[in-house]
Amino acid sequence: MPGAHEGKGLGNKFLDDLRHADALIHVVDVSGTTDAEGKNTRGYDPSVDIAWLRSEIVAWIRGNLMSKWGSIKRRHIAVKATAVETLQNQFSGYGSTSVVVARTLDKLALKEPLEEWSGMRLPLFRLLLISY
Amino acid sequence: MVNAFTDEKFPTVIALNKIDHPDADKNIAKIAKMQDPNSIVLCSAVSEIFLRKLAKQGYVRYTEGSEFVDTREDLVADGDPDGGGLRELDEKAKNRIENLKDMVLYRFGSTGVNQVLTKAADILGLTPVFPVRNTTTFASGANDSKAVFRDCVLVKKGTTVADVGKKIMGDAPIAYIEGVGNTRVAEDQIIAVGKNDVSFMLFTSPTSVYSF
Repeated sequence: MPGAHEGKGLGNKFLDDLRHADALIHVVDVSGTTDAEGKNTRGYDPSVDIAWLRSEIVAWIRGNLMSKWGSIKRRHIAVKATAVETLQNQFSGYGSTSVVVARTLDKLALKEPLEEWSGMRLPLFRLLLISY
Repeated sequence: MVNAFTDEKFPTVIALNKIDHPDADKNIAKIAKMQDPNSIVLCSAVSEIFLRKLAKQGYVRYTEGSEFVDTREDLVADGDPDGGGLRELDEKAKNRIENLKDMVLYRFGSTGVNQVLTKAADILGLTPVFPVRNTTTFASGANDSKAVFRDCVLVKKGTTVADVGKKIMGDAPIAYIEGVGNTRVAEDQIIAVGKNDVSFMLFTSPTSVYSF
């Protein structure tokens, strides 16, 4: 259901269930006979479903993070935490571990310290360039 | 950062289903250009269900995940007068099997359903290990069980023979570990797909381990 991260359909319940998964299998109807709402049709472009599921997950995680980014940053500076510690605090709810967070940061190889991430737009922009 | 985290925490297999539909080809081509080809598996779930049902009812011989389906006619043609004891199929089912071979099995190598799970284990860096009680019959679990390779344990890449033994056997002491042809296997040997083919390990308790 598009808009799941805003709670549409069984959105939040669905995203909540993802947290317990180690990997996802996205079954796509490649015949184009099922549309985004699950109705029968012909000639639907299923490639958008793949991008859409991913963007829902990203929007869900980013929304949760951004809503309290100010206080996350203040705490990060106050307790002199590492980026891995601070992010793992936020991501443990998704079933993440410090190892997963450390691997993420290693791959990104960001130069700016966490307190200078401007709404995380900068690192995000760079990543989008790499993946598309 | 969230994008990268999503990649790490939620690795995704894209199972492209209904590949036997006439509109599928152009959509597969489009998606293959947009996504990492290593994350894509082509499948036909309806074909897999159909073949498993026919196999269960004794109409065909079918190995799940393979491209081979034998009917009574096929086996008779191969020189088995009894046709493997299989039942005779009606015209409709015969046609459907022929179609399924052309559109799915011979084009893509399998129905792809098992491959989805193999791929998921692969992107997670897991190696499947099949614990069996008997390394001659490959039966699993309880003594009266006839199931072959019923159980599967997934272990991380780089796991050693000793780690797997501990995972399956708990803290039971291991007397020795054997491989193919009863040769001894080192405890610190890494378990890998293909590498430990038909190798097995004997522990003091009667459980043995067979791994792929």
